[in-house]
Amino acid sequence: MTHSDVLLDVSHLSKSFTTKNGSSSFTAVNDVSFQVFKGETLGIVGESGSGKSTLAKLILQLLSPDDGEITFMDKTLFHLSRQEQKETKRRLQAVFQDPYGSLNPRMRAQEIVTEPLLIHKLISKREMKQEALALLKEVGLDEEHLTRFPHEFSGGQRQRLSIARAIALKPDLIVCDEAVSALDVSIQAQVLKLLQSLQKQHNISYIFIAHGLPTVKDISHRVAIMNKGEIVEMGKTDDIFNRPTHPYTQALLQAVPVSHPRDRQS
Amino acid sequence: MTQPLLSVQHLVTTFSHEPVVKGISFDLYPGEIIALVGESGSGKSVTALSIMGLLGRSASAEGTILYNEENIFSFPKKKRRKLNGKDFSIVFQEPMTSLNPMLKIRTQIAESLKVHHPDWSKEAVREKVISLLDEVDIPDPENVATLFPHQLSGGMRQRVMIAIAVACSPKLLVADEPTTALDVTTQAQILKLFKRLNKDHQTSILFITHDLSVVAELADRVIVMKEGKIVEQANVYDLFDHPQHPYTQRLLAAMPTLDLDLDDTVTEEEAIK
Repeated sequence: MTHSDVLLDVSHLSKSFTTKNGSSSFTAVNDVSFQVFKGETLGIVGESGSGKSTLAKLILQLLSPDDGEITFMDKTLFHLSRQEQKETKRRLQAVFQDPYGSLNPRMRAQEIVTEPLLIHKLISKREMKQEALALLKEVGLDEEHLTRFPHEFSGGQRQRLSIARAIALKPDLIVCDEAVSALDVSIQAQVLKLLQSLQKQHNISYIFIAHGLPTVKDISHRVAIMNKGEIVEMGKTDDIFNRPTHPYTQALLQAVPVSHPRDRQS
Repeated sequence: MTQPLLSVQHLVTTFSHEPVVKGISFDLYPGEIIALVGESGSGKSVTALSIMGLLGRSASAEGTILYNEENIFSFPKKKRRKLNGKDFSIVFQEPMTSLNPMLKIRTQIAESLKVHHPDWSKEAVREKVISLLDEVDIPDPENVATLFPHQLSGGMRQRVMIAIAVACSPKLLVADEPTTALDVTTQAQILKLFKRLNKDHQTSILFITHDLSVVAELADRVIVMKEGKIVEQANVYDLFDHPQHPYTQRLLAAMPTLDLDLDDTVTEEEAIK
């Protein structure tokens, strides 16, 4: 990889939270550095409280760091003019765990997926329907879904809708925070496959955050393991899974339930 | 041939005229761990609630559930309720909604002991509470007994729930997704605990889960449910080696594991569908 392939550069990022009365503070992200290259998926795995979602919010500029910098497409986030901010937000999108919480329940599918385009004035209202249909088709939905509300979709379809909205602006990076965690396994596999095929077509990079190692294995080119706010190990997916060096990574792998009863330990 | 501990026959559970469990039958033997597997909406939790008699007013269960050769559906309310806690008990997914946030841990464990052993002295109850906390691997049980639920981690809360469930040495422990909300390292510990309780006390466990790797880890026998029906019942080895029903095969193929490649499981066309 050359320097020009670096899409996102996170450098010495830290974020603490202080209790309301100021008596104690908690370091959620502690001196975290990593890079994401063009067209790659970086899996980030950690258990609850590891700081992985705080990291996602920092990258999405939903929180400001106490320390450190994030450079995205050669621009340093957090010090941008409004115009530049708008531009980076277009290129940096997110898919969250619970589409119920992130999709407006009073909007129809066609409005949900085209709203970002209208906000960025990339299409006119007249083009909405046509654009919406193209986006829905890209994620495996169809014309019949155009006028449906979020609650009229199944969980997997609703997540496809979130993905359609996320890709509407042709972003360079999508942060997927536990994007398949709430789905049944057979649906998880389909949504992961969809994300992979979109990556191939559009050369999108993903930061794929999950609490389980098996989930990130098939989609990630590289994996970072977080524990207590720090990245304890980062490497190629194959190395992390087959040659983990950090005791915490080894413990995580050890704890994954077996895939066949014959592999039981006792 | 051993008598089954519990025999579920033609169970139909209906929510406002809509059948959710559609005539299922299975036997559960003493000391056995059965995994009841299915995706969301398959009726697995409703089956558990039907066995436990915990359905709300909007639902009704028909059919027969034999326990000690008696149909528990024909029991008067009071007799039916007496089974719970003593003969049957249940552990749910989310301990925080099952534990009372206002009561100390020791009070909540003592509650079921007092109900089912009204003759026990205060001292006997106190000792049993501590030994139960110890049995579910809670460190420093004397201290933890005096804490409130919010002072414990998720894994510790689930251990407390299990201590309450096994307090009166039930014959049947129903566990409805008890590890789904837990981190994987905590899940591994809790699964070990279930295995040990099963081994030490011959408690039969009906373990409800959507996670086939948990099944591979724990179960003796597996029942696969889909849309309110049982599509396959088998010994756990047979099920993983020779899944018969296409749905079981699909579930196994979709199972995220450490050694499987996603490309083998879902084709591009399926993904777009």
